[in-house]
Amino acid sequence: MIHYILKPMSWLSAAALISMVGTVSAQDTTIRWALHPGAEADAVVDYFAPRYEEETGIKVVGEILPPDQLRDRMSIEAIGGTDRWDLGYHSPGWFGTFKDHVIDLTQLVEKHGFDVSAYPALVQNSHMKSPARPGEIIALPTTPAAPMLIYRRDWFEHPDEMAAFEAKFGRALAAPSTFAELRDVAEFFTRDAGETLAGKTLERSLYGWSDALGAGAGITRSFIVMLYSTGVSGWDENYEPDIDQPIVAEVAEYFVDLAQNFAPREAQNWGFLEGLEMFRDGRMATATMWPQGVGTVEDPSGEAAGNTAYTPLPLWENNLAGYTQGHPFLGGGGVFIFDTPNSEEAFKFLKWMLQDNEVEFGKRSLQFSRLSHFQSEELRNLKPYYADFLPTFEKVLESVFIRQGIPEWGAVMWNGTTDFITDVYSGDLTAAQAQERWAAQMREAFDAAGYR
Amino acid sequence: MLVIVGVPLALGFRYSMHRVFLYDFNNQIFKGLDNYAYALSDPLFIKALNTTIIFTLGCVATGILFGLLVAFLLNSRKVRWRPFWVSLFLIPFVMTPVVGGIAWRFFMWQQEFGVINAIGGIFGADARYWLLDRETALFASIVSNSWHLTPLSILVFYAALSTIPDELYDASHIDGAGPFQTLWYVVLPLLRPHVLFVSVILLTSAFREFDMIWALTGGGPGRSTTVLSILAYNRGIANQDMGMANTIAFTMFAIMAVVAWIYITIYRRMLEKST
Repeated sequence: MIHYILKPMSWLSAAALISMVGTVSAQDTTIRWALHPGAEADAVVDYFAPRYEEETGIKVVGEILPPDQLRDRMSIEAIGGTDRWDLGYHSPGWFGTFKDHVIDLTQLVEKHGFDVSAYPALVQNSHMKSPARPGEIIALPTTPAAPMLIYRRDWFEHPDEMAAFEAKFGRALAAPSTFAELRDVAEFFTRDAGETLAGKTLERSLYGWSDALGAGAGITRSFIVMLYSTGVSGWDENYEPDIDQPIVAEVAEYFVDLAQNFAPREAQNWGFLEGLEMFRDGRMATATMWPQGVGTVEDPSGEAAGNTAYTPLPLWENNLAGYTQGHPFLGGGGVFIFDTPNSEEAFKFLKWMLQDNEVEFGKRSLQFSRLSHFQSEELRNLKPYYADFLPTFEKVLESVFIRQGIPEWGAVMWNGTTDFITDVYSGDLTAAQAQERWAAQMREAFDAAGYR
Repeated sequence: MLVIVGVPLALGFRYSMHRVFLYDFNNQIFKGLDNYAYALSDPLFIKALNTTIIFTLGCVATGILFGLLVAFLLNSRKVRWRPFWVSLFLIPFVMTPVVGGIAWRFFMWQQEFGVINAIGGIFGADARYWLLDRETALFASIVSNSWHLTPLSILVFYAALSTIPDELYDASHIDGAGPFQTLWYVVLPLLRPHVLFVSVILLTSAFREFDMIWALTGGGPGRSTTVLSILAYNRGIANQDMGMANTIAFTMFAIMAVVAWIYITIYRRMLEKST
């Protein structure tokens, strides 16, 4: 009799114990994520992490690192095998750098039903796969992004400005569809304080165009957007550089002319989105804008709110690839999972945030990449300017360059671009000299890696 | 000592002889002296070396000159509240260079609201983009870094001056020497070993300076303030090329070792001569 009573009790006790162990283990699990600053990081830290802990007992700690330290610190921790972070954010151009430290997500994707097809094909190729780990899924997209051109609709539609532009250039003032037209527009709107704009006297000088031109990442990001629009890829299928073609010198000289003559000097201090504050304050007519900057531009306290128009980047005429609009690289980033004991729990958290709460993620992170983000009426009506901004961004994503993702990409392409445009911009080297140096370094890196 | 100094040096030297990329750390390829040959033929390295030399000499000259001047004034019998002034002049030295760099960037050199342009404006000068202009960025960096280094020379020179007996000043005064003649003919010859000592310290400090320049300009505009330490950082961290970064760092070490050896030899001879 006692045996009959005790046996179920012992099973119950065992079950309770297992469930307690399970609870303890869940409560003891802490997922650590190295994050890039931005609205998406804030959304993780302030909203998704606490909510996930409420629902599952699993703690998620987001550590927001300075952008210029993120890769180096994650690399160093990964090389040292410290397991400091379970999740790491980075731009896909650098995914290859982490090839030895991140796990293949393919089985977890299948096991937990993560819908890869929810992302446009270009995003899948760019932000989930890498030639450094062929045939695998090594990351999930969180912030795929590419820049667009923004301009002041009210100034472009002002009768005085339209008449003056037509008198000077012999065509109607409109959103520039080519980079040559962008130069005309930039020149037209660059004015000193005291001159007139749209019937009003300018109190401060006005600039025709700008993007971040700060040393290092700023000027590199701005230039590489134009560089890829010429149709070059960096190298061909045989790893022979194509950046020594004359069109690269042309785009460099164009960029230097635009940046030195029509952009504010302060732009040389900007690393990414800082300059959009000048656009917001009515001191720029056009600007290259990454989508993360739309909140700044449409800040209700600024002059540009409600007066900003969005369009894909202009076309580089006679580009080598036959693109029909500007062709920036697909930037932003994705998140990979380091080979730590928490890797599966980390994946489950990502799936919960990105898929189970996809619209909420779009709302809170202000990042849009899943097809549902562009189809969601809720998102489109979330802000008054989303009706213009979101379709433009969707169009931008149709024509973007997918970076090769080899481990050497950062060294040969990103830093190669940094050196190249810095030398040409500063006048230390001619475009031809800088190209020759860049191509030689690229060949040496590919030879050393055994690609050639 | 061997562990603290020897091991990093040996490792740095080893890396400088290899192709070492952080993203492919385990695949290190021996290159012998190729990295050095490449660096010495690279126009960017040569430019960075020139910039470093100008920056270093500028900082040493400014530091010595202002250090002497301030120490001489502080040592004057007419100066009141001497401890207060000495403490005041030491503030830049105890400040972290990066904090000093940020302060100079945003409060002193800033084009719209900066102190330098405000003072210039009083005299009718146009507001300049000091740190964004290739013509002035290096000059501004030298001034800012000298502000940080000068207190050290003030301290050493002031201590040295206080050991000079008053009788010497009295004698030069009786002989009809003015303050600057006293400085030139009496004080400076006595301070020669101290000048040499301070210049070695300032030289080695300015030659490897990174924080202040990084905070001020990041090495720009263009490459106008890219000194060797910034070039090494860019190669090693931004480009992940630890082989070349160590080549640059080791070249810096070799240059400084030679310069320090020359200085120490001169210093020793000077001491032998004086005794």
